[in-house]
Amino acid sequence: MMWTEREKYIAFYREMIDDRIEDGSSEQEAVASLEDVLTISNAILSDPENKDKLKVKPSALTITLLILGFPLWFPLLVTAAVLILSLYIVIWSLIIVIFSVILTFAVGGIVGCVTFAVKLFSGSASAIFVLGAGFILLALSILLLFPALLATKYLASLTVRIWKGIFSRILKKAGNRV
Amino acid sequence: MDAQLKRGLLDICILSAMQNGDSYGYKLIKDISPYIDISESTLYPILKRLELAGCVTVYSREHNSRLRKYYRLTEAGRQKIREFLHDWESVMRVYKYIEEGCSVDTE
Repeated sequence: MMWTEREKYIAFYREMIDDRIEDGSSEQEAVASLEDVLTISNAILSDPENKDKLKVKPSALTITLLILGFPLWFPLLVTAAVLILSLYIVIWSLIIVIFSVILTFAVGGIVGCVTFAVKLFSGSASAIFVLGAGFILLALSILLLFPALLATKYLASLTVRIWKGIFSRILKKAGNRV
Repeated sequence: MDAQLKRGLLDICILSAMQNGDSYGYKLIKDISPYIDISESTLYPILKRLELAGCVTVYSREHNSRLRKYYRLTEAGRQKIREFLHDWESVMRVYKYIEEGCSVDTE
């Protein structure tokens, strides 16, 4: 809605409140005697006079500039999108690498325990060493798992917040134009 | 009351309220409310529509250190009232016809 239309609505309701106060009501009574905000806003939005004004129509100049500037803004937009996507991939690749390391440690620990059993029966002196190494790897995988899970949870919520922030700014800009 | 019927009546009621002199928003609501339900959210779009149709003119005047908008009935507005009163005779004929139909049904 154009700013002047908005001002007219505000002026009308302000006048209603002032007239009620002048008629003997308190400010709270005057405001309370009006309909609720939702009803008023629905009435404004459903007014056929406002329906066209609520549609955001780009001007001829805007459309012309968009077409002429296409070779400039489109590559920039694509570059920005690719950069954001790359950052996303890098961050999540790091998470994947960390979980891969944890999985490797866990598998190595299990293999170490199994190898110990095999070496023990074959009488190998290195059986104890292999068992120890297996336990260390298992312990490392368990120790690293919980911080990795926490980091993943934090990154996921951060990503969601960033996207929500971007979208809400875009929607706010569109709403301000209305 | 049917919404469409009420809408038609409200326009005429608002114009009639100005027959004896210029009026303003709150006074219009006070004058009309005893006869038909009206609120601020209903009044403002009607006033806008009547102004666009040339049935009223709007001007601002200072009142107690603030500006108040006043509405004045135009000749086109008076004509609209006359047309309504004329059309109402046709409406009353239809009303009597419906009323007679209902009384035949109940017999």
